[in-house]
Amino acid sequence: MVLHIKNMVCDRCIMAVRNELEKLPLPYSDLRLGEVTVAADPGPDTLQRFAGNLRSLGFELLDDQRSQTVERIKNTIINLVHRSGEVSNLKLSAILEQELGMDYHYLTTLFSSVEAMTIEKFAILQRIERVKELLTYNELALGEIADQLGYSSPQHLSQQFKKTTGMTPSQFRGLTENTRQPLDKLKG
Amino acid sequence: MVCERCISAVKNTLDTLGLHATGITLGEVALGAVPQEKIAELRERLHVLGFSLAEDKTYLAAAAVKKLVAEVYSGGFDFPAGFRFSLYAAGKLRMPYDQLSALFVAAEKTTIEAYILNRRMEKVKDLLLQEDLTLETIAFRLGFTGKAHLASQFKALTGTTTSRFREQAAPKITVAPENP
Repeated sequence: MVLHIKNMVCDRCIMAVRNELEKLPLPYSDLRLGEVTVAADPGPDTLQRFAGNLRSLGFELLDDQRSQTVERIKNTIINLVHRSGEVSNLKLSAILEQELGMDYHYLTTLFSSVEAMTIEKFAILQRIERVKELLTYNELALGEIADQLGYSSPQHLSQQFKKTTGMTPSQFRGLTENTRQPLDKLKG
Repeated sequence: MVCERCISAVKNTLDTLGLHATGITLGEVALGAVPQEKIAELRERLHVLGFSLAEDKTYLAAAAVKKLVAEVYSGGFDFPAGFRFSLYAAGKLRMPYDQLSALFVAAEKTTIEAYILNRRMEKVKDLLLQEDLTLETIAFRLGFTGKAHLASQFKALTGTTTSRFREQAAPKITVAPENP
């Protein structure tokens, strides 16, 4: 059976969950962002201990269908923005429909009702956070960052960056304080 | 580093190495002085976790550029026709030049162009003093288009002419005839 976990956003999250699974121990066959496939029903005791351990790491076991679907939407977007090397030509709506096998209209309605924002807004926030990360490393020119994230031009990126953060990418580069946020806690 | 788990993972690694961080935020760790051997170990352990030291890339790129500049403007480099350092560097270091430029400035606080001008001129001074070479030869060895090019750049950067520079550094001794 598949257990759904909230707030997993990167490889370290996967490592942390793997650690917990091995500690219990809870045998599993697959572990990815947001989901672990366990061999058999763990039983309420083990499940409760697992849930407790996860909570102390900042994660949460999701047991209702709606939250699980919302988390899968987030996982898809995070994988797309932060973890895949290439830019997809498909629109986000098409990708989500494909991944989740559900109508996009249903997905947007569901997402907005559970989260405080639209899918579009969530995707933009994730993208901008990725831009901040790349700007901090100071290894790529703005044009290359724009390409990597699928923006039509560096100007378009700057525009969206300014709209979301209130400053231009250059101004961000000049900041001394760190304004980056954890990916599972992004606020517009 | 993108979340709390990343921060914990980094903190654990530092603890294991006995390193104390004054602050850990997303993408940045403030440490005191770290001995070289520990940096190497830190880099390894972070790599296993899927991280890399971003600063490293900056300093490595800058060091590679400086090495290339030293090679090209050593006095022994064979300049092909139409040589341009930007193209040469991008090809050798397999990185787009504007990226190299940005990394260099971040590490050295000066542009590659300014650095080259400086180093090249130092080499010119060396060659002016050490060996009895003609200006034309020095210009050729250091990739100038000719002695006029070298002379004008020399004057612009140092304020004196090449001959005056040679004079000031090693004044020619004229042997006066002995007074009868």
